[in-house]
Amino acid sequence: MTGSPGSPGVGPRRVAVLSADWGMPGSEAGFAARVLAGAASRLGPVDVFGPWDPGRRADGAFDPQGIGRPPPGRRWPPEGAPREQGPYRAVLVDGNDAHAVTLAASIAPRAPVLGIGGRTLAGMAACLDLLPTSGPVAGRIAVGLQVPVHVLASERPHLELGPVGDYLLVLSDRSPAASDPATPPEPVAWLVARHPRRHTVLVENGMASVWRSRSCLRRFGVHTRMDLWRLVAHARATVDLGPGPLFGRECVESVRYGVPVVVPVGSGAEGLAQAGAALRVDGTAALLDAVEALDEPATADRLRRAGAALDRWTGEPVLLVHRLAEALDNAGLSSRSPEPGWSS
Amino acid sequence: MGMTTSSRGAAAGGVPAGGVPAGEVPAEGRPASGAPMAPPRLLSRPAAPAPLPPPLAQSEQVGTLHRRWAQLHGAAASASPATGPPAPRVAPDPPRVPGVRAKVRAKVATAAAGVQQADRAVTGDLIRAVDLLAHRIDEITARVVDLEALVQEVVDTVSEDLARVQVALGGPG
Repeated sequence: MTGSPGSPGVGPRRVAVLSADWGMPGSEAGFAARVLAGAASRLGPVDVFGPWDPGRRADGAFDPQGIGRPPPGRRWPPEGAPREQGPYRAVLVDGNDAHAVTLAASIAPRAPVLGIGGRTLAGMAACLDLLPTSGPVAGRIAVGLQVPVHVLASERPHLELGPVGDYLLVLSDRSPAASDPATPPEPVAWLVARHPRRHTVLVENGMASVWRSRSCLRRFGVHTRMDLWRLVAHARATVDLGPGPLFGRECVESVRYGVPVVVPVGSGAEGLAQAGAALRVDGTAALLDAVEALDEPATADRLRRAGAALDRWTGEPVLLVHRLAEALDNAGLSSRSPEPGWSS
Repeated sequence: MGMTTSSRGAAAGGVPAGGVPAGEVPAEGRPASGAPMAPPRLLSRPAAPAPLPPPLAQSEQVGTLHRRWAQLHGAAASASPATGPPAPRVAPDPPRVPGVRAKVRAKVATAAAGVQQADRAVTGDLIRAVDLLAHRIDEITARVVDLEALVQEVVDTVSEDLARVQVALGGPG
């Protein structure tokens, strides 16, 4: 895509994005790559490359370019398949994708490679943190991410909820193959048994089930993102049993609605917990205690305040563009020089 | 779920076991060792009381029955000479000896009036019985709803106590 002129004072910067998950529904890596590509397009031209048949394909704001299909069991075509594409200021790749780092060296040999979230792998100049870490960390640059939510979701709860006032929202971690509507995940069974007087709403595989008194009262479909946002926006708290691997998109959305979050230790939403906007639990027993802890107004308020402070990292697209510009300007200066002939 | 959890496989998370870094919620009341208990069993049917239906005695059908009966009763009463409008005064006919035909007609009329009266009595009894049944059903319905609420209360109380004991004994992992 040919990007729009950048902000005043920020020169054009051509960026390549390598994303195997581009356009894949439900993929956090694809979502993050798209958001950062959108932010980069405000600074200069953006070329998106993916493991598809060679050629460009229309994709709304971007025309991603295929570099060949991968062999079975792999995410990318063999090394050396893509040729050098031109001077780039930087190449953005999925943070945990070592193969993409290697391919980036073929597409833009002299450009610094920046990982989107995840780990800083060999060959990367730095990793772009999608949620702020506690203090500066070598090899990591906090750029944040814009996670959009719809403000109107707070207006009224989901129509199918019925006469359910206060409820705890639980996002399941089970795959469609492993899920059984009659038997909720083990932590949910414990929550329902421990707090039978409260409503617990479990969202799993596009269906929501309302639990109370150790039994399921009703089920209904969660067909759209707006349906999910309505459920999140009116919950007492959100428990995400399996946050996304990069930043925990639903957790961030919950925080943006001012709803406290409980996440597992070591999950993708660790950044939220480090920022004080989420409670971390290391097992089901701790989960039960955490849900009880949220009954204390002081605890819930503390989490909400920390979450509100995160809004400049997750809800402000202009700030994201400025942070990305800074990251592109600074990245690679210590490891690699910008490509010759490049002027910013 | 369609756009969220379906994209996260079982390997993506769950509630992993492991060390608890500082600042996390501690799991209290758990022994240091021991296998985690099986998750609590849940009920296969909802334990919540259903909403109380509107009273049967005040239903449209029972109301219509009363209204129709009042209309019929009123029409019959107005047709009877005791309650009807006064007849115009005319000169009385000279007394005549009734014939056979008149005697038969009078007897048939007397018998028909008796049957009609008995029908009305049965209809009245039926309406009173319907009233009684409707009130009794309403009362039983209220009791069932009360029982459902009691069952829910029992389930909630026992569930809370049991889960608390299970957690204290080691409970979930």
